[in-house]
Amino acid sequence: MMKSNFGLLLLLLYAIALPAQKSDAPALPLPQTSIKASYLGTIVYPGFKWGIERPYKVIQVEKDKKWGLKTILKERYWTGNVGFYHHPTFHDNLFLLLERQKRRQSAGGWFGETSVGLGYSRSFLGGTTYTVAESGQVNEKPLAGYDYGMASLAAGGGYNFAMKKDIPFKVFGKISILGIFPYNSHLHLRPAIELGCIYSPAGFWKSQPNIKIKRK
Amino acid sequence: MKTHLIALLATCLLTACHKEQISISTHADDLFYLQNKGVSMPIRVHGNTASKVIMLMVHGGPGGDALIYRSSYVKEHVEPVFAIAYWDQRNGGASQGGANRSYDRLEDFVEDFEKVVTLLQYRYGEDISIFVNGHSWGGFLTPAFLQKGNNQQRVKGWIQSAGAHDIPLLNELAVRMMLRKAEVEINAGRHVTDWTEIREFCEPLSFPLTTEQGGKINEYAAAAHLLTPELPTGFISQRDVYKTYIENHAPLLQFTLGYNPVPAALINWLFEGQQVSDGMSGIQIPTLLLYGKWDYICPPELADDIEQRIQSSYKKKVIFENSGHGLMAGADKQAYWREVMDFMEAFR
Repeated sequence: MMKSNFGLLLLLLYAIALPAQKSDAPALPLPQTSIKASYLGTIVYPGFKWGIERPYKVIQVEKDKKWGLKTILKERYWTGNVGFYHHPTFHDNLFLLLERQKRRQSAGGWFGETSVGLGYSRSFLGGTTYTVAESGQVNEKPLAGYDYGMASLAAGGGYNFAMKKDIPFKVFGKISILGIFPYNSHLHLRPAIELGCIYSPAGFWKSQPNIKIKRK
Repeated sequence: MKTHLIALLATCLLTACHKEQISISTHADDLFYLQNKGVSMPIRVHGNTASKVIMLMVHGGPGGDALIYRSSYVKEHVEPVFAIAYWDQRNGGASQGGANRSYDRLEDFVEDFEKVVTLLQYRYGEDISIFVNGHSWGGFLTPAFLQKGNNQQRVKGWIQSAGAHDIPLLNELAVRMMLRKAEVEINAGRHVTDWTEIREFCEPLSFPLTTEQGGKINEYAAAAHLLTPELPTGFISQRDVYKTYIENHAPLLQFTLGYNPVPAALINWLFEGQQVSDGMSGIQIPTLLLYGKWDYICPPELADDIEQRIQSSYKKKVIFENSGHGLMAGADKQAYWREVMDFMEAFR
């Protein structure tokens, strides 16, 4: 099991490390490979998500407005994440999630984003688990739980401090739906909120996203 | 990265190691899981396990949950006297599993039931007195359990709460009951449109019903509860139910919107015309039959059928005048639980 987890993680990391092309320099600060950390849970049941986001495409859109030129960045990322949540009496869940993320970054610093993800999760049941043999023999089953596929959808927004000042830091909030399958041969949905921050250390895993500039 | 992942896994594994908790006390609050045939089913034991009497609640559905029966009234008046085991059946409530579609037959549920009883005896002692209380679909599953092997000898008594032991009979009784009530309500000018629709569907039916007709009758029977003036509060207090779910950390979305095609397929199988009447004559343990006068889903005449078939030396039938299908949580809840507790006290 551990071996397959690491294999999946390597696949995620490879996907976010795919090479990209260079293009003309845009007017706004370019996104960089960043480290993300967030609270991911419901109001009652806590969890966290930790990962890396790596831009692979940036489209700078320039629009002529009455008051001047409006510039936004449409950023596309791959993100690799490890997460966990704790739901007492139900289960604890550890997961690996690869997400494709779209971010619309304004020159003022505010951004909105959506993401879709796919991954793997392993649950651990929230109570002592027993099996009972045909003979009536009762046995405890340690670390009982299930392997599931995981899918996610999320939407939210945040603020990028790098747009106005030279601070490589973002804060964000999202509403997420996590789905695990095949849960009882079907799907288990879990709404969650995600509140976190993104830090872009200088020179960290330098990315070269494909850059395009569109003028409207 | 690898180090971090190992640290995270270690954290997860440590938090997942749950301390064994077996409470013999006047206010037990235990939760454990039974894993069987592709699913892990939570069993919550609340109340007075020191009494050595446990009532196992066998919930409705299929696909329902057991926590719905843990009302404030039960917590305040029943659990201090006897313990109640709330078992979420496979693919219902907070049960969890993977691809287990091939294990959704009645036989699988009966096997789970047997193992739940074994587990209760393992944890709380061979000397405990177990009573089984089947509601609705649970009233189909419970007699199926009692009819197999020596299962009867493992429990002290059977409580049948608005149980559905014979679907063809149930359909026939429900249609007749709704037609009778439709006439009364239409003549009285109450909910005329709704009752007319029910009457127009019921009148031309011939028996046995098809699977689709049975399903539709079940829908109309649920709707009829809300159209019956003798049942002003409908089924059950939603506020009470949500409070219980939240207190017990139930996954709310799963409990409220958790449609699953597996139990839905089992419901269809039931409506094909299943019954467990034929084996009733083998049942000899003390039996308490509790039904609501206004229960269109499981009409009270079903109790007469069971009463005539079983061989129990003690059998008591009570029809509650102000109740429908949710008799344990409606206007007659005090009388309902009084009957249950008196029965358990008498045969413990």
